[in-house]
Amino acid sequence: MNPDALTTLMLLGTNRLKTPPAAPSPVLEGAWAALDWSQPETAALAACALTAAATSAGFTGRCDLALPEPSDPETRPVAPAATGAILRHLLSGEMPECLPEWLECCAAGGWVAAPRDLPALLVKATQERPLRPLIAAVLGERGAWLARQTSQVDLIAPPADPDDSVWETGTLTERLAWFKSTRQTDPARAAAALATAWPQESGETRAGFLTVIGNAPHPAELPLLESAIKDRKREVRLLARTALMALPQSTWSQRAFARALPLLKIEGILLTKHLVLHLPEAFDAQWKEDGLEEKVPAGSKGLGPRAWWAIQLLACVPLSLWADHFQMDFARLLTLNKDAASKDVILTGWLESAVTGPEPASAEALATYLSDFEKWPATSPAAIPGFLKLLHVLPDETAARLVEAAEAGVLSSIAPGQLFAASTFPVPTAAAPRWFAALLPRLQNPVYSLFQTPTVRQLARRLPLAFIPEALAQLARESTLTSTSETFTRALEFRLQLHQSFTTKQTANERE
Amino acid sequence: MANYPTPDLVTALAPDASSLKAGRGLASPGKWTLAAGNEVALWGLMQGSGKDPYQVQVLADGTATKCSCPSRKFPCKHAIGLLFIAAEQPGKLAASPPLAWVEEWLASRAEKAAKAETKAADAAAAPKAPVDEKAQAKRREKRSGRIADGISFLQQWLGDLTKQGFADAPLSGHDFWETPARRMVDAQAPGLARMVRLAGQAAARGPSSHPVLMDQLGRLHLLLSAATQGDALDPDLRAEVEQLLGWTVPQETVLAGPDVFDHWFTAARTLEEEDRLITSITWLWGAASQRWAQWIQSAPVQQPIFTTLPLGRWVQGGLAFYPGKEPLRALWKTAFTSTEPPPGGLILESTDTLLERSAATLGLNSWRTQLPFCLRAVTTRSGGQDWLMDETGHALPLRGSTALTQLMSAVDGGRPVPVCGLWNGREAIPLAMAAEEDWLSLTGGRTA
Repeated sequence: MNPDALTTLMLLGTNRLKTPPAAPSPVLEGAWAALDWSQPETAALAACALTAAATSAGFTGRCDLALPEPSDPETRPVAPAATGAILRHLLSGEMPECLPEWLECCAAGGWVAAPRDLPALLVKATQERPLRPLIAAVLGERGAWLARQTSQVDLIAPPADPDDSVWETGTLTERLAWFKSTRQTDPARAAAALATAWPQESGETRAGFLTVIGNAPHPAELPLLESAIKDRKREVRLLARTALMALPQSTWSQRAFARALPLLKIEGILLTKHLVLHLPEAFDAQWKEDGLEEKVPAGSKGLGPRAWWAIQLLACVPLSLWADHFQMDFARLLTLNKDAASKDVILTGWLESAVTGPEPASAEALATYLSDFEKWPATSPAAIPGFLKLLHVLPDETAARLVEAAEAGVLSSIAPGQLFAASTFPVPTAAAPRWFAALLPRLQNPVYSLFQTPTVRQLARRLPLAFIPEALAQLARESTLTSTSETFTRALEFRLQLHQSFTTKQTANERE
Repeated sequence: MANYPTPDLVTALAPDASSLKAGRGLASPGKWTLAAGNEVALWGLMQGSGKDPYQVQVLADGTATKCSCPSRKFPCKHAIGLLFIAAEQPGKLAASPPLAWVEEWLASRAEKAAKAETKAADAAAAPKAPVDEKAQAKRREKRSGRIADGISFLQQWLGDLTKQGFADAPLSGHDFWETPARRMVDAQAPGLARMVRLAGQAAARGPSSHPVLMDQLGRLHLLLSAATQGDALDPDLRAEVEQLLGWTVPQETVLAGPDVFDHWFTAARTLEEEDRLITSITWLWGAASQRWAQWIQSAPVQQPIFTTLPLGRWVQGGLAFYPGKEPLRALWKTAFTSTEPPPGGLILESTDTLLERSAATLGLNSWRTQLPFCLRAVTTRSGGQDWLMDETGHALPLRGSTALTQLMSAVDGGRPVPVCGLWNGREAIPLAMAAEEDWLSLTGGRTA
């Protein structure tokens, strides 16, 4: 059908009509002949009515399309209907913190997500990269098929071992992936490749590669690290220091030990025993070669150059060095650090060391010592962020105990709830009762809310599942609940419901 | 255990996405002062911003709800939340006996149903109340005159537009269309006003919509021509034309006619709000009669009270159809009851059968621009267009957002499944589809 002539007529108007348009299709010729063009407006509108009916009635669709390739049959069952309802809550934005939990439960139970939820899950995978592996685990055959259909397969494909060519031609992400993968199988080759490319790399790229190395360097990387410690970019130097601290056999570590050991001495006897800091007299040019900085960073109030050099020298050696050197438990050593003039400098150096070259036992002793915050060194950065860095290197149970102790101490008056809110570790089951007992008064703060709603939901997310019924029972025993406690209660109930939906057998009603 | 709806059915009952989200947010028993239920009903107390908590009442199957909240949505978020609790955590509902206000509501429903039955029986048995036929005829004559004037005006206006041409007319101007539409309202021809506004909407979409605009103007011209023929028309066609102009057929007249008793499949439901009126449209398919029915319920936005049939369920009852050519609109003449699927169940069409049915219907009624369908089909994409393809490989263009077509693809997995929707002569508009063991609404609260 060719309605162009009629469309042209309607566009230009019958005032400009010279000759009536021909029937747009042979099937309309009979009806078209009956149109009275002596009344052009009526005829044109009737022609429109005719073509409208003919277009709809004569619609034929397409019959040359191939049926799409269907998805492979699902090898795992679809998650129970009740879990799908919970997933839809999560995907609609309610309790987003629990989405990873749902995905883990689903994968752990050997289920896949229901087909209707797959598009929303793929959207989520686009938006939140960290969720991709979890989402990929529940997509099943249908989800993988859908991702292929919608060109989203990259979102969920497990990272393949990168080809060697990407080291020369790939993007930074691809090259980092190659380096990470190759250093696991052939660390010497990876180290050689990085050493060759190193001079041409940008500062950001160099930092990226050292982040991959982290605090688990391979001896083959030692020459590179010893050169990186002199890098012009501070971030690269600090990363190189972290790696070198884990290689005590390196000449850099040996030099660091040699420089640090003369700084600390124990003097006095019995009750007068105390740690003495001998500040370095001058900045040795060799120190700069080893990544130390001569100038005090801007904004470091009350910190002189010699104290700054001492902090850096102390930060370059692991805490266990001192325990070994003085043949004394590190916790005991902390109690000997009581010289008012130097104790903050020593503590600051040790804090740096504790978070750079993680040694959980010494870090725990240090964190326990500092957990009342009254001893927090003035020369160190802000107490709470600094303490949180320490918590990161500790086992979760220790971290939970320390948070609970710190919140009960001086923090209760100066910054109640801040450690609860800022820490991120999951609370271990054994630590949960005391942790929750310490948290509850913060939730029930009668004057104002100490936490924002997402923080409250995160707090609920961190509580172990086994403890939720007890926590809910304790909340139910409160005579009134603050809005913060109510949010916390709802979040706990939701988590419980989420897990129950995976474990409860479907009722007949749900299956219907 | 009571036969509460499934979570999917509750989702399908939600009037729109925001109500669904808000309802889901209330689907936690802890948020309720009281959440209870039995075999017949669910009820709950939800503290709102006011002093007293809202009283929420829902029939156990979700087909009727009442809430004391001021929401204009129906069902409101509280009713949806309560239904979600029943669907997902029925064990959390308190097993207490119904409160007084619940008893009152149930009793009042039973009383109303009994009264309606009595009234219907009385109406059937008793002689009709005397109608002042003279006055009625006078009123009708007066309105007919106004409508005739409106038709003359609109014919003249359409003629002028055609004379002038689209290129010279201010087609995108709101007033260009609104002025004649208001004139039709004044002429007591709201159906014509609606058609003019629809044409205006097509015109506003620009030159690419000119073919649609021409179709609409052509159908409008055809309607005006038919309206001037009056008694010369076949009675069914005349009834159709009168309803298209805006004449209403009293429900009593419809109910006085014969009914079609059948097993009816709830294929789709849409909800739309226009001019402070909420309209719920339920599309039903009769298994024995093999015909489609459109059950329309309207209510003011302040007090929307509807009966809701969950998607994919069967009910048994008698529907009386409005007069007209190939009518779709119908009313329940006898109370419907939930029932098991009849032998044979839902019969699915092929695209060829749908197109044949569409052509035959258009031959009888040129204004039937939307035809309900239920196909076994798969969603596919070709040439930048989404298609709904049946098992024979014949495909119809599919109208829908990327998100919608992706959802349909995810559900069908590349294999034909039952899909219900509307065929408008150019595109298939999907409204619902079979998903696993249930039915999934594809409207998301939008209008069809």
